[in-house]
Amino acid sequence: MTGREPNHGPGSQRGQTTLPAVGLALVLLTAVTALSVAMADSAITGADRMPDERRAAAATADRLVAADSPLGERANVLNGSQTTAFGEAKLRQVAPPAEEYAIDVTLDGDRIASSGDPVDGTTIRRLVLLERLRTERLVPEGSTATIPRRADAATVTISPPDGTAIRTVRANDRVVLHNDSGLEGTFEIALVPSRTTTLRFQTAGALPSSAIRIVYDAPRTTKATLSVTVDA
Amino acid sequence: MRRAQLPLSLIEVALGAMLILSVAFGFALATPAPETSEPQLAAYAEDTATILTNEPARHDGTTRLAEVVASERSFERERDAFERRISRILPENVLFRVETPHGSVGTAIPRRVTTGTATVPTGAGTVRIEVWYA
Repeated sequence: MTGREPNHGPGSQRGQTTLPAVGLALVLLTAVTALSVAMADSAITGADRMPDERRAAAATADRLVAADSPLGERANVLNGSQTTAFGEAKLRQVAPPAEEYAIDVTLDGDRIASSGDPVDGTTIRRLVLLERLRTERLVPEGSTATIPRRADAATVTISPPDGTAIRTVRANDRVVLHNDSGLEGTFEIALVPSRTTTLRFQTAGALPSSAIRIVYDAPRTTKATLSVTVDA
Repeated sequence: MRRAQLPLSLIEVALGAMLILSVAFGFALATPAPETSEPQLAAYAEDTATILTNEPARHDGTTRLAEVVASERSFERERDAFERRISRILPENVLFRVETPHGSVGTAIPRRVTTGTATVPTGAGTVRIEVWYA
């Protein structure tokens, strides 16, 4: 061995770990630690099963299909006329997350309300029935007429020709209208929605089919999909 | 001994970085991907259950579901109509299986598939609705 290395300090008997190497090591280790913590953090955030967006979408959809929502008729049954009247103001009222997030509510692809303009985001779809009232007209066959169930009232217009008197109207053998001298005019009859109703007209004299007109509102339900999209 | 030593700190930093990175990769690779389809499937199952329990009966009974599960005979009679009704309620890409005390309707549940479940208590027993993506 030939003497001391020139870069070693005076008095040193062997090579020392240099200070710059320690500094570099510390910097590298710190950088790797910071990177790893960031990575682990994002991995755990990504594994969150209910992030805020999804939570807001699920909660809003839940409120919209509830029986007491402004759209709801019963649970999971939406009122057709209410859905057309729905808008941003009502959405903000029902769904507090609408203040914070962009929310889009569509019914079978048609936007019925939105707050903000979500670009993408999380969508929750709910299956609902859409109930609309449709006015049905009915002409009695002979002296009876059958109204399907789910109608809760019917309007009967009686205009008998001369020489005919319609004295009694029965709904499922229950007398609902009666007048000994003959009924004439427009009458409102309450019905039991859970069963079909047979109206019987008890007449004196011939009953032409034009003498009686029955009008009732029948609810029609169709299947629909309510989608709520939330973009944070 | 009078010669230069290998700078130990550099070996230490290499070992340290490997240790920390292996822990970090453990987090990144070992955490399962979030199961995003499950809340949606659960919502589909719950909605189907709600719609069926609120639907009026076709023949007798209080609701459609109560009518179907009332007895063995009524289940056999209503089976096909019941299955058609459920497949109409659910979207096209969703399959279902409904288990009632008198038997089941729908497709057999494949193994290892994410399902959404809803159970409905009825007078005759529990009805269990399971749905999954086809």
